[in-house]
Amino acid sequence: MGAHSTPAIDLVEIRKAYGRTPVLSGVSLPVESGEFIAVLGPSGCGKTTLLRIIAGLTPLDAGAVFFHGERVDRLPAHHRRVGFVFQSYALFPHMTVVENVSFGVRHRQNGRSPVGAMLELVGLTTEAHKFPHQLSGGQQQRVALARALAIQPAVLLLDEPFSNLDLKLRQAMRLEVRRVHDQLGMTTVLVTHDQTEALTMADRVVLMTNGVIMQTGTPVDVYQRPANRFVADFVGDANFLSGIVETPIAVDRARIVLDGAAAALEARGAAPVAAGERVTVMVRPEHVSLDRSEPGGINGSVVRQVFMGAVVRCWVEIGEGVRVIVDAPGGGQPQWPTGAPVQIKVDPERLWYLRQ
Amino acid sequence: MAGVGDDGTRARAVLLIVPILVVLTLGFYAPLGFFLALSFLRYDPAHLYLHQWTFANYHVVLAESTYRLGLFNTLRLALAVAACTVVLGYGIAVVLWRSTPGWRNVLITALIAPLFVSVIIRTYGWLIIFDNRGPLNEMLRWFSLGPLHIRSTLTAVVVALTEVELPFATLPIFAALSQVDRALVEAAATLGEPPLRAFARVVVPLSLPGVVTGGILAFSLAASSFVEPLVLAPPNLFLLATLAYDDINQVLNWPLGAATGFFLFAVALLLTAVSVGALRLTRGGRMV
Amino acid sequence: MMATRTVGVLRGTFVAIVLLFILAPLIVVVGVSFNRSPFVFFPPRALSLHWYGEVLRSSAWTGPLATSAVVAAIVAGFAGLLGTVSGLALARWPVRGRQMIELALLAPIFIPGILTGMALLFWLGRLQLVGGLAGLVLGHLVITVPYVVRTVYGGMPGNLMDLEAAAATLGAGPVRTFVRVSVPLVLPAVSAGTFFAFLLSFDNVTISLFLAGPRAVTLPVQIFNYVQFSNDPSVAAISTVLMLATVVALLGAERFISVRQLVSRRTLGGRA
Repeated sequence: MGAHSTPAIDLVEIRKAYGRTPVLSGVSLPVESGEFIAVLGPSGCGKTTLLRIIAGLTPLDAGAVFFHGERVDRLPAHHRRVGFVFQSYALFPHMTVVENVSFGVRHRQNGRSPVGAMLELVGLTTEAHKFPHQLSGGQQQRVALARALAIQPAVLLLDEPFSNLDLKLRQAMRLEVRRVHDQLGMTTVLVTHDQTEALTMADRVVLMTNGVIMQTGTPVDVYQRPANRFVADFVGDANFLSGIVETPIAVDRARIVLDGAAAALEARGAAPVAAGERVTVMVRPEHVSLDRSEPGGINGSVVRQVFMGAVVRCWVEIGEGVRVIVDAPGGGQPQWPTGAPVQIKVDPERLWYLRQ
Repeated sequence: MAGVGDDGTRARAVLLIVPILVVLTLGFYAPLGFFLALSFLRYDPAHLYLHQWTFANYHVVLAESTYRLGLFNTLRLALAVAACTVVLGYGIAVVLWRSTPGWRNVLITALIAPLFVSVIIRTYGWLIIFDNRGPLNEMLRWFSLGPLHIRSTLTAVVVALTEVELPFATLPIFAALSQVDRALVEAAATLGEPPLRAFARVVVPLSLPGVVTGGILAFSLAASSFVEPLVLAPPNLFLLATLAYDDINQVLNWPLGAATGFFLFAVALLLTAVSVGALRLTRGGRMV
Repeated sequence: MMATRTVGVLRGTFVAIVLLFILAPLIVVVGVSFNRSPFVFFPPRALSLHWYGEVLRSSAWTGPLATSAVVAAIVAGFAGLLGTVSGLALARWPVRGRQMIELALLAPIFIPGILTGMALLFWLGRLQLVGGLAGLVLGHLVITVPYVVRTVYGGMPGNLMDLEAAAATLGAGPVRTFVRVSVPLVLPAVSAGTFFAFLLSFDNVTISLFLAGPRAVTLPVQIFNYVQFSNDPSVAAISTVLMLATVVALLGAERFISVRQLVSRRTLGGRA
């Protein structure tokens, strides 16, 4: 991120309330030109409102929106030149595919219309004269995308665009949209409640809850180095164990004794902690391993296990009511009989403490 | 008209609703309001009414034998029509429910086609049928069963109103039946219920809200009907609706006509409230 | 096997009886209209088109026919316009309060026609508007416009607001959005509603009986008067003409609108 380049979209202290219910409480977010941003959060967190504010479909109460340094929050939607893909696709039912795609195209670029190119880009050239209801869900999705792109927008905004598709199609469309993005270098903001979608598609993920941004970072950041428990919990599966800091090592490192464990373990975190401080330690199920006789591990017993294909998910009780979820490699069948004593071992690089 | 902003949208919605509110105020709310007030004003043969508030008109409606008889006959008529339409309508609704989509379309079209013909024409049709020398009596005579005097009887009115209100009772019942998951019948079968019992124990209770809606509709429409009674009922059969009509057109006692009209409306409302309440009670408020 | 067949026969018989019951009054009216004699015989003893000639030559029938057509056309025009505007308003009304406003607009459907008719007659009497076209039009407008509102509001796409927003993001201003998106999307419902308003007005007896006067007698009122006070097949002839016109209109309209959808809307809400 170049410090001097002007962001393609800059949201400054956006506030919005419906009646007395605050929806956005001071959201600031710069988006770099060509960047693919995913805004991720549970439903009702304000993410769709944020997207509609960028597009000019919903007025804001306070704050400012800039496109390439130019203030646009007083500009009506039809003057903003944003490509918007709606959750319902919002394809005009009384127009054919080609009519839909050309709806916003007024000026021909270099003497030729971008409509044909867009249809080609999404692979719908042969369906050009069909009506939306004659298309499959995936095809409708492509038309919505082509229509948004045909106006050669300054930014592309996607509001839960894949939520009406089945799993296989959703996966294919994610790749396709990302491919189109890479091909056109279009600044893109995707709103989704699906963490897999956010992690697989975006350059940067913005986590929101209750109208506030909880963390902004690369997919690896938010997955491995969550800023707080909400992020850790919302993105991926996680074990949360409580413990006490034995010795701080660095601003982002400390030795921590987990409750019920004999030895201290080294963990990393986002902020410095003091000796004796109570912390929560997070570890992902796939970063825990199981062994019968690993020295230095934590003793426990397998209480339940489920075969999940690539892995076997085991619930290991390591103390009174303290269970750790472990994803062990699935060797075709369960390897650990229920009740068997085991030792669990965690990769210290993957232990992540969170201040309480 | 674009969703430029929530606030703009709201202002535009308010602006768009003004014309119809003006029309409804001028042609519906104001007239009804004044008419309601009129029902509480004293009747005066010379000036139509005097500016004196009184319950006298409602007292007449409640106490005078003609109007009591009118209430009794109205209830009799409306209940009979509601019963006939619901029984017939339930049968039709079940047939519709069990038909293939093609047949269903044909039957529904046949059921509703007469709605596009003016009530007065259909009432005229019944007048012909019930005539002493009409086709019905000709047929009865042929079988040596007649002739029967049907024209100008309560029965004639009930039959004509049943025919007119039938779709209004049938369609809500059919709508309720369509909501019944067929898997429920199959579930009852797997639990050992023979088809008819499964129908009685599963489908019938679930269709009750539709029966109540249809019944209320038929009742209210029949209670306030006056065109069919004016043509088909004997002159001495007092009904609230025709009494109100006569108060205004013959007697020119407007306050009394107004009171009769509102009393009639109140009766229908009361019956609706009671039926809906009863339905709620029997199903713990879950279905309605 | 036997059981299924018995059920089938029973069902068929039931359906046949019901259909006969529903259609009987229409059939006899049509039949009677072909009588030659001045008496009402069904089935007619001698066939003739005599009464059609009588009816179409007589100003007692052609006058009211014209009145009805004029009133219905004016009412349909106003009701279509008002209903469309109000339907669009309802679609963008805030969720809070929408039910209240809906009820306020649909109320005329739920009030007995006799009450509305009497109240209007009294009100128009105060305004010195009794017995003219204006009163009839106002009365018919009030009882038909709720149906248009409901047809338009119920017939517009569920995501209309999204579609309008989509048009805005594609650079279309309010006018272009209205003309290219909103209007074409509500047009089918609007034409259905307007057509329906025409039929409702044309067929109405309940309200017209109160509001018609010497200067404006509608056809249904004229039929009512004849049925009450005289008895020759001319009523049957004009009624048959009306039914034929309605059938033709419905068949013509069926290509554009779903008549059945219309009627289920009408029936589920009562009758004006």
